[in-house]
Amino acid sequence: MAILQCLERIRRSVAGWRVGTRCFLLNTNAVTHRSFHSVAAWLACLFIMTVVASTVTVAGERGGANAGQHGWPWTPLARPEPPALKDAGEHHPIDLFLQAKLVAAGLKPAKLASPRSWLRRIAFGLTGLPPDPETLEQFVANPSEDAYNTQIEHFLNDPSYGERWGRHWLDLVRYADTRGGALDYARPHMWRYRDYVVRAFNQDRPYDRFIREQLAADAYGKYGAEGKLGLAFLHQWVPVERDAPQLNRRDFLNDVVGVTGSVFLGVTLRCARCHDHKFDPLPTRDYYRLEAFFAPLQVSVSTLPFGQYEVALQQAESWEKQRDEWAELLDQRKRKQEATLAEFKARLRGRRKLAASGDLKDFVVDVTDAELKTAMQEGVLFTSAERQSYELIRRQTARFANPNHRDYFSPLAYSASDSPLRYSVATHVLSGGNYELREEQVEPGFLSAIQGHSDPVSFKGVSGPRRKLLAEWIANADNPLTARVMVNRIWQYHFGKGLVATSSDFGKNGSQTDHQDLLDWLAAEFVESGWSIKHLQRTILRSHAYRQSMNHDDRAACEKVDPQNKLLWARDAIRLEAEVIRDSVLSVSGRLNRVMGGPPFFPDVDDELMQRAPTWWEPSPRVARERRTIYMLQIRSLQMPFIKVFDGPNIDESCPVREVTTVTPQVFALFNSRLLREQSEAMAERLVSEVGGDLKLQIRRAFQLAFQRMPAEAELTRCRAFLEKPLEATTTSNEAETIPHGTLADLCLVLLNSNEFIFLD
Amino acid sequence: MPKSEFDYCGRTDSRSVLNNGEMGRRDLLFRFGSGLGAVALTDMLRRDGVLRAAETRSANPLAPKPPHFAPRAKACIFLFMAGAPSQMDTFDPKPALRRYHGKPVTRIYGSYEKRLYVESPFKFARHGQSGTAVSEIFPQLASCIDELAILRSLHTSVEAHTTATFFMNTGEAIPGSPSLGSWVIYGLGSENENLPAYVVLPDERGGVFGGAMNWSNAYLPAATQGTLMNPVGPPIVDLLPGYEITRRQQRDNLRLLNQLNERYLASNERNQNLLGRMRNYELAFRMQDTVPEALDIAQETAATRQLYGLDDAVTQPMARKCLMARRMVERGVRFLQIYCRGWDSHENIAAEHRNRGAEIDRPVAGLIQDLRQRGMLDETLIVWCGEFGRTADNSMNFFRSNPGRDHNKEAMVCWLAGGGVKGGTVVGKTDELGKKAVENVYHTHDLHATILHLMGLNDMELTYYHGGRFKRLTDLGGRTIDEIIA
Repeated sequence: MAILQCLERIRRSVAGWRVGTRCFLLNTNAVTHRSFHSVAAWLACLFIMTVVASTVTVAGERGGANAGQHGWPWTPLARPEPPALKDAGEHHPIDLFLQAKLVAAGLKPAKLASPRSWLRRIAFGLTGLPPDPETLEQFVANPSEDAYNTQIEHFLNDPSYGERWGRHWLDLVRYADTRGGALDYARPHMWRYRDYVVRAFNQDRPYDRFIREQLAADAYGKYGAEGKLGLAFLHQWVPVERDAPQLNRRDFLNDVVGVTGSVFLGVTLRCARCHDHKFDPLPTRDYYRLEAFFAPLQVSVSTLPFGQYEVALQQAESWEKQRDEWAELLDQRKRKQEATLAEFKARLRGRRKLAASGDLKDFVVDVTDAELKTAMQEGVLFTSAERQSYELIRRQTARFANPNHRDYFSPLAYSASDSPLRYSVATHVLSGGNYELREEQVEPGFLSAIQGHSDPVSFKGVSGPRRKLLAEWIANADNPLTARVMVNRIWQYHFGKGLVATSSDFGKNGSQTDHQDLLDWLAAEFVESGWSIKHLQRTILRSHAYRQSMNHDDRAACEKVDPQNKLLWARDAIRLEAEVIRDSVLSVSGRLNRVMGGPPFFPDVDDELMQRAPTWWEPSPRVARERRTIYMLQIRSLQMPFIKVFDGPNIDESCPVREVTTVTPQVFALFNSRLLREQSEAMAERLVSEVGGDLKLQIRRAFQLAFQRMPAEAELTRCRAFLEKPLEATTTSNEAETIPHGTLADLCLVLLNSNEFIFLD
Repeated sequence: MPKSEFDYCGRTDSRSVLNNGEMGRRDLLFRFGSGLGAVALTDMLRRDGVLRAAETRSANPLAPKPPHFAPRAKACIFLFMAGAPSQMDTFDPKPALRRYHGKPVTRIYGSYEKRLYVESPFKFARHGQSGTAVSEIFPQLASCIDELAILRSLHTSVEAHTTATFFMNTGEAIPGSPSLGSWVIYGLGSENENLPAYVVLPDERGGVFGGAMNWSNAYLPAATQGTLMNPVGPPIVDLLPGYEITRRQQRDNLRLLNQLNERYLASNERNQNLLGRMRNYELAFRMQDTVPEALDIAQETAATRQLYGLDDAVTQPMARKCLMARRMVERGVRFLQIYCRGWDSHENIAAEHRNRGAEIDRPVAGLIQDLRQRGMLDETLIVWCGEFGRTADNSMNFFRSNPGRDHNKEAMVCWLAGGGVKGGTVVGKTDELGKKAVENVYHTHDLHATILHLMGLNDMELTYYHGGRFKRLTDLGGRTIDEIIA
């Protein structure tokens, strides 16, 4: 048996080694799969493997007698001095770092963008909504330095800020209102975590506290009930059907360790689950030592009274009304369902009575659900309308992915605690990640590459959950990864691309960066400001790098030297995210409902899609549906087409970077959907009510709302011709000579479909 | 050359356009048909020097790409028998089961339920030149048996429906990996710029285990994801406007949109997506016509309808999908997946499998014959497969009334036909009772590798960098099933 296990281990380590080789050699196929079966190659690999394994282990385990020997980003964080520039001008520290690199490459940064562009950038960047035209006009009229600061504060203090930045965080933690997997049950209290995240950003909660709350709020009495809401971070994993219960636990632990590694530390820790990390100093033992902090973790749903900042107390009256209406609606629906089913069953029993041969039991035994189902499938006894209503009931009461849940308004939350057995829970290194192949036992400990050793942590004098020590270690100025990773994320959300483009992988196999000094300076600034995200944003938004134009006078030269714009010689355009597009459409049409928080609203989905869904829901009333997209119901197994088509996050895993694609189905979502048509019509109504019937004024206002600028003369002419009644059809044979015509709503639809609306420059 | 604010299609800018003599060509675009033809805006914009750079940088992710080696099949139709058909009742006869029928199985189950062996309720007969045995539930398919290569020794890694469906489609039991179709499109691009490259036709009776993750692109470019087309009703969400609008009005809106977009295009030279987006509006506008046309089976002749069984209520749903599939393959769609639900026969396999057989037998046989007649079979690969196989014993306690079979990952049957496949072959063996694949055993990864191989792709070379390493459909690689390759 032992021999078999040993062989299995060797096989696995060789397999693991091949994963790494492929990573290195990609297509060179030094050892192809087929030749691999030859004994010679096998033995050769075994030998190399042994050598590699021993070196990796030595490097990884001894870590650093001097920590930081693995180079950036493992080195301790220090504040670098910005380089000096030759010209005498006054420069923002960020620009000193960037321009020094540009000068070295023989390039210059682009000129400043217009004040209008800058204001649009910060409005979309900070709130995810277009600025209102009046704010913009005032600013553009007098863009003094003070005015810049005032505007930054204005948008940072707008409650929409938390909705925008909360959404970024929800991407990382793979937020959803259901569990996902095949058994996509509802997680009806998850919205409290979503609201908690929005609040945390709005209140500029220090990031170190934000981390501690999400990993181990149960250890910190001082963070109170509000902090405990953060524990739902530990509840976001996707359970899948498994053959063995141990595997479910493994899935949970794998997920929580992997996500902790990628979200807070920006390393691909999960690679080290099956083998020592091939590129980064993360031995498998470190993985399991980190896992040991979570080993006693138990997650549960428990009572947590609503706090003073939560919507239940903030909007008490409407909250109670909504709660009662929802309960009433469900009760009504249930009564109706029961009555209908009872009627169907009675009829079925009636028929059974006639068919039976005097067996008395048929008079007393109820018709089972299964019997009714069979009868419905046979369909003889029921009309097609009845069969449809039966089908509807089945979907209304479906077990999976069903959002019609009773508990949305209950004061329950997802909490976490350590099992009382925590002193006896043992964590073992698992060979190849296989839970059946246990190796040595490990104690909780931090990453050896950072610590410089792999000693276990001491729990002396520590009460409460094991996770507390891990949270303390991560949310610490001495942790070289935490601050670097977070400032890079903030940079990414402002520029469309991080300084490290793979923002959840700072390792050697990630995209890495030439801007280590700048990141270190930002990280130091971040930590010194008390981990204030808003402080960091104020800093970034004032820099020339952020304010510069999309276009460059000497673009050809820049592209030659740096085609990917890694040196940031100009600003890159940003395609708005799915949520921002939808929210902006609602904002421009004047219909956006700014009510914050609370249980998700149910979207109005395409009839076809609804019919194919395993479940059913009634869309929320229109006004509720016109809230921001962050409040829209998120079902893991049924992502809304509009969000999906505009590259919404894959909500099954942590999403550090949204993809940007330009695919054809996006056209159908914007050009053909009911949503866009309704909002175009709403926008047309808004225009008429604001400026009356004058075409010119309507067009000007439409451009102002959609693009925050006045139309150029030629655009005005075009649009005016579009809106004016066509001349009586003189000829239809030559369509090219006709002028396109349409209603005001058509014009609005066109504006909302235009590139200028979808891209931020 | 100075450009006016709007020289959209050249009609207002007499200076630049008339002098170049391009007026006529640009005019043509709106003179015929519904307006924007295939040679629309982009071709003309490309001529403007300003836009040339933008054009070259906006690479189309669906542009056709060269295969790794000469492909045997240009398109693939994957017939997914959801719920998992039983091997011993379809293509892997196990006469020995007759002797064991009703005898207890020596195997301990979690629930300590008593399980008894179940013989196949179906008769098998040998067909074709190859003399391959086929169950009586497939009389039509039996007549095409010499086109089929049957793989009796396939096995997979998981045996719950959702995880196994993910596994069959993505090579992973957990959702979040790209599907086979996405890998194919990623590797080869698209052949038709008026239609999606990868189309999924679901069973109209209900969803697929695990839903859209089964045709997801996951981390591959979004353009490689499967487009779900509903076989009845509107095929794509919002393909046709969800509100009242005339085609003429739509075209007028599109014209105004292009006028406004072009101004923006000129002021944003560095944004490579602007042109791509404009191109999409034209494709989308065309798809409103091409997609319904491609799916319009009313155009088929009476003989074809007969061949697929389109006029029979039982075969009609599958016939419709098979016919749509052929029409799309004709139009250059690269990868199609058709779902047929209801193979999960835990009880009463005699009735359940017979019904499923009746539903798909004629349509699938019709598809093979039709492709053969049209000379398309040699370039089209057909795969018929479930997510796993079934046990030799009954499932739960249904034995006395109408026995069925339980899930089994150790053995399953699958067949391939068409492009590059050696028809009339049978590969591999299961044990005496069909419980486990024992000879020439192949794993799902091997099936994937073989499909990629037949389409001209090497599974080891088809990689994508994600999450810290180069990923592939077959993980550490699969073996091609050489016995079935012609």
